[in-house]
Amino acid sequence: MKTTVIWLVLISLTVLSLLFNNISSIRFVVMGLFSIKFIIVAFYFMGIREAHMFWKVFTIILISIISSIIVFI
Amino acid sequence: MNKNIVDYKSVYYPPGGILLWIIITLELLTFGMALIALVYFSKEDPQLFHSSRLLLNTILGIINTIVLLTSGFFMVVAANYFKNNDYAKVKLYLNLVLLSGMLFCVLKGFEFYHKFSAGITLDTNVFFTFYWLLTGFHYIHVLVGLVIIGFLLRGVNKNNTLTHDDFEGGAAFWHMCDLIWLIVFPVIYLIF
Repeated sequence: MKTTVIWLVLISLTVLSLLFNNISSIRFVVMGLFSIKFIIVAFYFMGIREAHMFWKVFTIILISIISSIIVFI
Repeated sequence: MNKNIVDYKSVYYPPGGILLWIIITLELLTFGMALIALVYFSKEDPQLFHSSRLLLNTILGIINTIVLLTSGFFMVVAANYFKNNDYAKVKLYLNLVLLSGMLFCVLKGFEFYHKFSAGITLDTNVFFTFYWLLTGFHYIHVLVGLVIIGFLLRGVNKNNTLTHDDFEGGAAFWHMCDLIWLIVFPVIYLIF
């Protein structure tokens, strides 16, 4: 049940990102949405939420750095 | 099934194994740096990147994203049934993972064929050089993932010779394909 809800959230966020198609000025919103999806997949699908704190922090920092550079470059 | 007791709270044992997570990290860094390079080059000619991006089928990209996320969902359900030793359900959901993975490949293949037929190749411009390399490299990852899922299915079918680590490793590789797509898709299909 919980997995189904998470999957529905991921699908909703994907469809939501379609709204920002053709609006390149709000790049940070698009990258923000996909970063959230990245973290949800890593934490709930890959089980990082059960892993050592290092892996949780590492995953969040990794996607934050990549997304931030893409947005602010 | 060979049961292993894994302490996920240890820094050395993330789900899927530390070696696979080293690979996942390197893959994400490689794709991430390539995407950063793509955005960097876009500053030289934003109009070219915008017009090139408009040649891509965003709806097809969104459908492919949904297909991949759904395959990841099936993989999680299969892993849960594997923990509960319900192998009939494991087979069912692994087959669904295979089918959705194949659907992704067919849709992407259709997109590649359409682009190639229209004369859009690696040499068309910088945007499409990155497009072919990044989406093509990701496509190869999905194909390798499908082979791994095939081996997991074979292991379950053959008196279940799989260990918990085998299954988690295969699942982690499949989810890695999701993670890579989740950073490739918005940059190539949406932001320019």
